[in-house]
Amino acid sequence: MDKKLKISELISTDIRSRANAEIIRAELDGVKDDVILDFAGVTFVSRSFTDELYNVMCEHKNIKLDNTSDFVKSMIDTVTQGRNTKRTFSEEKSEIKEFDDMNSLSLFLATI
Amino acid sequence: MEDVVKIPNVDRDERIGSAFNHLFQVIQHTDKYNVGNLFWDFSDTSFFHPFFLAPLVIYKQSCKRSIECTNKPSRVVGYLDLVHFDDPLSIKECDDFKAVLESYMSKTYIPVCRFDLCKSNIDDLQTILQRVIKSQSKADYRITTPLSHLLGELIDNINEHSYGKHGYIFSQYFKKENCINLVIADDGITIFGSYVRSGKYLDEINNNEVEALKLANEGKSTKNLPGAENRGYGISSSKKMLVDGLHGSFFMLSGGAFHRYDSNGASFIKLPDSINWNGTIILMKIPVNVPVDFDYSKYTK
Repeated sequence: MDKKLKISELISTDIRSRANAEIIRAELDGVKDDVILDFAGVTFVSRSFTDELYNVMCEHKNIKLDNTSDFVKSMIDTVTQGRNTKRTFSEEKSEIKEFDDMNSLSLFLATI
Repeated sequence: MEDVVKIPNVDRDERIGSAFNHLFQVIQHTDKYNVGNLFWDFSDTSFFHPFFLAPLVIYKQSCKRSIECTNKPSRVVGYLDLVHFDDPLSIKECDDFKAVLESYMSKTYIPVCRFDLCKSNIDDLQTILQRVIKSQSKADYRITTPLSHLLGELIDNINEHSYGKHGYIFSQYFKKENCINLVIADDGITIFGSYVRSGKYLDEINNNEVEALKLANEGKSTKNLPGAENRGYGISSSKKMLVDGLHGSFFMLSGGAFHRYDSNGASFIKLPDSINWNGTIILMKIPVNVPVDFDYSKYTK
């Protein structure tokens, strides 16, 4: 029989920290059956948590997701897409300003 | 031997650069006097810009010196007590912090709060902080998701990377500007220290704290999985969402490096050697009204 984890009860309806995925990882330890992660009632998942959830899903191929809201589904899709395409970093183009004394720093800060 | 550092009056209408200028002056002067008794003289003060006040409280906690605050005018004594200037509000895992923080629902500020890093209540703390901030500012409901993102990613970042003992948070809503001034900080090893600790990107950083800050803002993480570039979205996505999407302002100070990104431009600044911030602090001006064309999904990719 499939094991079902109600994420809103196990973690929260508002999931922010990456470390929350460890709670799911611990629940899956040694489980051989299929597992359903039920996201009913979950209103927010952070990108960090979702990224770690993706890792958990890579480790345990027997996971299915259920009752994901549009927001949760969209975050999972974003992370999945990001993990399967080459990442392009946007280079910070703004120059580095170096100040060796407080006076020159103060003059610069007066402009912002 | 006694030394006195004058605390300036930093009005909320002052330019943002002025608030940082005053802050750096105080840090420099305080660090210079490292023997004997040190006094911060508040006789000139009547108002504190939030981006001057919150760093000052956190600096006072982290500089490990005994600083006596003197000559506080009666007009500021009450306010300094309310924001927990001398002793940040401690959020412990066992405390009923929800009830404590909910008492600020009808105020315009959340006092400087200190919380233990790497504790299991950190999501609950964010949830209640967010509820209080939204209630205070009567914010557009559309601010909910971006605010969750900013709090979630930035607090998770300090939890995962700072190796600090404490995190700090402070918020002040200004009705006139209709924006939330939010400060998040840690007492950890700085961004430069985090790269050094991991041994990653050291050639690119070249022993330079500003290069480290720049790399972190580009999304180069010290904790990517082997063969993946899955992490490092926290700072870069939060900053772009806040400035490009919500038209707010973003400032970051870590060790001897400072970064500013707002509608007037971006710059990475190496501070004089005489100024050093213990840890990392992020200061954000978050407009309460979300632009009609704001699209959250643009900033999570």
